[in-house]
Amino acid sequence: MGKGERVNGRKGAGAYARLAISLSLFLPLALSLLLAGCDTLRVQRPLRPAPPPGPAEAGAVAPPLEQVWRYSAEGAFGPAPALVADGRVLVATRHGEVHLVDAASGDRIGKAGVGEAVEGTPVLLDGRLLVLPVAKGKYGLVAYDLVEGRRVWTRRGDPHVAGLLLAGDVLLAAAYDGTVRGLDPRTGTERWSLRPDTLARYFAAPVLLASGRAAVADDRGRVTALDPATGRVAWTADVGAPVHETPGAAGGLLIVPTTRGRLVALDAATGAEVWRHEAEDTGVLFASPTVAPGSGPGQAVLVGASDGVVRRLDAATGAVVWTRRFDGNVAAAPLVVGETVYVGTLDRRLVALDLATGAERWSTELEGRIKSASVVIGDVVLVFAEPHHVHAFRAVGAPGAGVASR
Amino acid sequence: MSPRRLARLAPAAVVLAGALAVAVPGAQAQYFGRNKIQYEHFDWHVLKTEHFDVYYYPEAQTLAEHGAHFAEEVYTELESRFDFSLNHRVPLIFYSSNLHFKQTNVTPGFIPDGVGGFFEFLKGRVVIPANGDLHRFRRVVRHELVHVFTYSKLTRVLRDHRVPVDRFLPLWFTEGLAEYWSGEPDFQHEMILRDAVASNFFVPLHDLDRIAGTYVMYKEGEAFCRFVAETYGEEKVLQLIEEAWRDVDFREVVAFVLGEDFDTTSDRWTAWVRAQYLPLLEDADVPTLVSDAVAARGVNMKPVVHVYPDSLSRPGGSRREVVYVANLGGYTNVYAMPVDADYRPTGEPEVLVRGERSEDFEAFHLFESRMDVSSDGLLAFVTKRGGGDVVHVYDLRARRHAGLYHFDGLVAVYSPTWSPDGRRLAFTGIDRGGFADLYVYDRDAERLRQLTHDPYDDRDPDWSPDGRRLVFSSDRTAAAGPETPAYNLFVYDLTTDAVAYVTYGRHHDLSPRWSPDGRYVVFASARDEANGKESAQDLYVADMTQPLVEEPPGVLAEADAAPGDLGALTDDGVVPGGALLAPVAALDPLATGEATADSTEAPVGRPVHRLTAFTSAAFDPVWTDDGRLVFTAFEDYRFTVRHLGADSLLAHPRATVYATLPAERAPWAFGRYAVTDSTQRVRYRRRYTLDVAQGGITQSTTGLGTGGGAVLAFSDVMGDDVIYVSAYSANTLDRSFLENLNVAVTRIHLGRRANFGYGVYRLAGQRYDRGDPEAPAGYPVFYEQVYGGIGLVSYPLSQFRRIELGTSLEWSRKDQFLRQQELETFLLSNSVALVHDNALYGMNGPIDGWRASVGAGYTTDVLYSNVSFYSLRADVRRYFRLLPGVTFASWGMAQVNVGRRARLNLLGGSWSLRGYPFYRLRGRGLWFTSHELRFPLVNAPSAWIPLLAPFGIASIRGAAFVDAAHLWNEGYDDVEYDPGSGFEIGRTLGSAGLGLRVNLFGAMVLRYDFGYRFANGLEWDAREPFSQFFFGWDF
Repeated sequence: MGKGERVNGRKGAGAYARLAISLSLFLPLALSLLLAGCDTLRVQRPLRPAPPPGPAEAGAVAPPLEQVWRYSAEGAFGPAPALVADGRVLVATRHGEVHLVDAASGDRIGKAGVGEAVEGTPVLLDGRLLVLPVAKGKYGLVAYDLVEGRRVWTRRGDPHVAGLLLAGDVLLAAAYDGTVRGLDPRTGTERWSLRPDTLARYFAAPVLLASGRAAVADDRGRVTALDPATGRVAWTADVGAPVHETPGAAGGLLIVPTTRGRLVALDAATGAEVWRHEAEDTGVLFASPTVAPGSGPGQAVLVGASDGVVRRLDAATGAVVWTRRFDGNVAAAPLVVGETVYVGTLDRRLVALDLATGAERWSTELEGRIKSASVVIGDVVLVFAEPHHVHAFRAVGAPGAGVASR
Repeated sequence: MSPRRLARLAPAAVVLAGALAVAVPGAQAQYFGRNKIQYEHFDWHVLKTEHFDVYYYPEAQTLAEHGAHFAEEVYTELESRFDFSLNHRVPLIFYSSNLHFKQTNVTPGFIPDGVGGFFEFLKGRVVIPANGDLHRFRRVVRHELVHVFTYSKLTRVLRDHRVPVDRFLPLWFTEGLAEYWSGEPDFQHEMILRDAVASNFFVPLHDLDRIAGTYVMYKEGEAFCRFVAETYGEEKVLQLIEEAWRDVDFREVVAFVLGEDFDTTSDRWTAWVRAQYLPLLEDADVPTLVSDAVAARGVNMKPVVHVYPDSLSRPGGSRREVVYVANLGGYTNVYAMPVDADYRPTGEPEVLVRGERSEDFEAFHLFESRMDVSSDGLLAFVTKRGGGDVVHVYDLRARRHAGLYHFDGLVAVYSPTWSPDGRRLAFTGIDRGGFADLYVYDRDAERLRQLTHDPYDDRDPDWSPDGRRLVFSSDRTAAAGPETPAYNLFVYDLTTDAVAYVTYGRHHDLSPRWSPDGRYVVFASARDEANGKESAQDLYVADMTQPLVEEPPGVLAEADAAPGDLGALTDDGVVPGGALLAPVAALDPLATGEATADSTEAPVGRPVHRLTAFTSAAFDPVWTDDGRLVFTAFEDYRFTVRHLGADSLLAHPRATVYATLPAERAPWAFGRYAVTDSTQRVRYRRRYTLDVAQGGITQSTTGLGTGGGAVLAFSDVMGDDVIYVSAYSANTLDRSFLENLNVAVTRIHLGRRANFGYGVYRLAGQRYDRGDPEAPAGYPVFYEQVYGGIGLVSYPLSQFRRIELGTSLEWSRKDQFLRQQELETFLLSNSVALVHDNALYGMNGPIDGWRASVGAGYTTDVLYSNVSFYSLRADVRRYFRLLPGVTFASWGMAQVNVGRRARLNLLGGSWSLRGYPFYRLRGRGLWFTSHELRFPLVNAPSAWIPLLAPFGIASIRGAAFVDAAHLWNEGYDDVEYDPGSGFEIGRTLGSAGLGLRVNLFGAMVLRYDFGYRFANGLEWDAREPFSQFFFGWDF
């Protein structure tokens, strides 16, 4: 027995030695893998809000463009636009991550996981508190402090497919189950809630109207305008078709895209229908409209649709100024920069159109479909394309030429 | 159909692939299976459109241009519906007929009749035959492209969310969606749903997986999508795809999208369907209640009636038979049911023609082609024979096959009809261009004449009793349009070649037959109803004594009137006629291109009487000489042959309408893709793309080494050529990676009738080969290094029979390390085999028919003279279907290898000699026989024993068996102890017992046998009990 124990003991010592050697090899590897998978998102100081592009920037991103960098976000993008602030872009993905990328260089500043897919646009409060709508899972809302690099609060409950809206000091969140809530953005505490229609679902983000009210449209065609501070309903309107994409606000109008070939302009003050534009086919899905900067007569509304047509309408009357048909669907909101309209299509083309005439001025083909709204930061146009890349374009000849891929 | 369910793989391809992939030399492998034959050598071309590469052969160029138009037309529509654009070109492969389609190598499986097309995932190919009906062709193009969009969108959604893309939507949803978004519900949809509600076999949503792949599943899936769109909104249908990433369980996805739990949705859907159809069934007649059955067991279709002359009849009564095509759960045959004067069966049906087991009667077109019988008792019917259809003539009175007609240039032939004098046959023919036209064959002059020549679908001709006209059904009607299918009846005047309307309207008027006196034409028809749905398919009669009324301009014809005008019946059930002009032979300019004859006949219209109001559908009526209507009824998901009295139905029709013909009939034509640039058409050039790339590594836990390898497969778009590259190595302690490297490169060509393959290989490593005579019996392992090449040819004589030739040349060095021996050989092996298989398969294996393989081979060492032997073998298996579900199977086999270092034959185990270890018994010669009674224990346990369903148990069957065998080496009776098995050979061995077979998921059979083993000359006293558990199909 004793002999056997000694024999076993010697073997055991050998086994411990081998285990120690194995662990010494394995642990650094495991640690490095762990760290590689646990990127943090943290900035030194709050981000400054992005100024609207001035004439100088607008001219700087006039076509032709060339790609200056490409960034892999490792997950695809929802239809809503990314957040821009302080020369950086915050990209939330369907893989459940948020990336902060330097717009000038395409370098990643950091990334953080929120667990599940993000479809809508987050909001940023005070340049540091990022609130994300989460489309699946335990938490419908997640708030993240960019300076401290940690979650501040979460809110359990229904998923939020729609993007969020910050109206003053109230966070407006339209949950998938048809509930609209006014929350304290710093704590997530609910200030008010309402559920106009128990059968309705929200896909479209709330929109801030010129009057300070907010409007939200559901998939049963009901548009509700409310006071963000109290949740009191100012008016409701029925556009007669589901709304899946976020409406656009143009001065005193709310322009509501529907899934049944109808684009309806409502009076932002009363909810009365001002004009409507009907596509030839009632099955056409309108994308989120873009209202060109500026105001007054002739203000342009640009909208893409599943029939592959981009339409420029007169915001005041709904009259069609021009149309341009593409081979692929146009599911993303067009981007207007100066006198140029950038359109991404599902057949992978990025096209620059003349705002005045609709004439094509330049185009390029990317490797994947463009189904998310593009954004502009300074002299860089950022395009979000399949499978999971952010493409940065600058005007040809602008500083920073050459392609970097990450 | 979609990605359709193709049950079995074509054996020739599998044999070649299997043999070449593993590069096994010699003639040892035994394979059965039917042959998928490439009768045609298609000269493929490619038409490049904006979004598609359309593959076609020159004869079908026009068809391809129609198909390309249909595809581009629906592409734009689907792009919007799916809110998605395809970023790849979709290969569309068009065949002109089903018989060409069956030859495709895009899928290795056999394609049964009724498959309208499919989409496969590997290369994203869509394969569709036209088969004469361009409306149907258009619909299938749309259906399959819905699949393409669904698959592409789903893949994108899953990848966007980084969810594994092996997640599929349920088949009932994808097929239902493809039906729903490919067009309005057709009358078959209505037929199935009406019957499902009326007969109460409607399957609720949570059980639809149980009927996966059935026609009911397609139609219920379509109804579900329609329900979602109408109840929750069209957007929700697309959302079911867009949200598929949320859960692997589609029920959870449905619950998320529709906002209620799945069972609630299922209940609401069931109620919705019932609410749609129950009101329609209130006044409907149930076929089994209002008519009498002639043949009610199995699927019975296409009846004709023959009354024998008095000389061949029984004393005191005329002898008459109803002849029909039927499938009673096995092969499809032509049956004759003797009936009395009241059409009551007077005996059992007699099998006249045994189908589906010989080349002459390879396949009946059960749902497509009618039969006809001449006045002197000659039955004309169509079967597939080889690469095309033939018309058979069967003498009912002599009970013998009287001949067959094959028509050069016609691929498919449907619905032959005799002229009254029996000298001519008219039928529908489809040429290599894919269009269905009418033909007449003069038997005396042996001359074929084409009557119509256009893209319209002309079908089911019937010769008038006066011999001057053919009535037929066609979509050439002005009531149809390129996007709106409709069939009306027409007559073709054989004297003037004029075509005239018999009926007119947005109907499906099908299967016309003259009454014996020529006064009426009876037909089946489904019509638009006030609620927008198609009606049940009922029996109608057109009164041919009255002319078809041509409306003055501006007056609505029947087709143009609002649907539901039948609701405005007068008290006597008659809709008053409208306008009143009716030349009997009103020539239709659309149909003939000739001027319309003028006429000022009496102001009457043509009465069309609706005779029945069935719950579901009636097909193929025949008007007998004694005033009966014999027809096929669809009820309770069964097709039965039934009969009704024509006179009483005519006296009291359910309704009567006066067929009218609008004066202005706009001509229409199917859309056709305009080729603007000659570079859009190019000849097909074979290019190989990767199909499969798979690799793996294993690590031996005993420290003997590691193993790893990879297999690559490449093929061309047509699937005619496949190249396999495989490499693997087992890196053992004593040999290096390269020493054990195995590499094989093989090519298989399936594009011609003679399939061939060849390859080269290098095999090295430890081999376990119990059949090697040099290998130790107890532990037959040695190291071997082989360099060689192999070639195989498989030539199918018919679908059921083929010749296989094989040759190989290989150098080998075996290291018998246990015996310290080394053996070098340079072997040339040649083999030939004749294989027959017409067996019919059930869930666990063959249930009827027979299969056999006889072969011979010779293997010689051309360099070292170490090996020289010949091989002979014969294997015959016969299956007797005693009762439905009960089969007696007999198997006899003999094998002998004779000569120097002849290989050993193996036996034993659950797949051969039961009660003995698996393939442990070995000898140079053997005979073996097995007999087994197979019977059902529990069928469809999910219905009877729901507890078993979650375990995937599809059936439980029993078996009683007796096996016997004898193996020997030198002398037949020389008894030797075989250390490998632990038994003595040179004695007759056997076993007897019972078995249990459990089928899991319809895909795998577990086998458990127990009984007694007789190891000593079948002596009862020397028996030993045994039990064995294994898996595999019945022999």
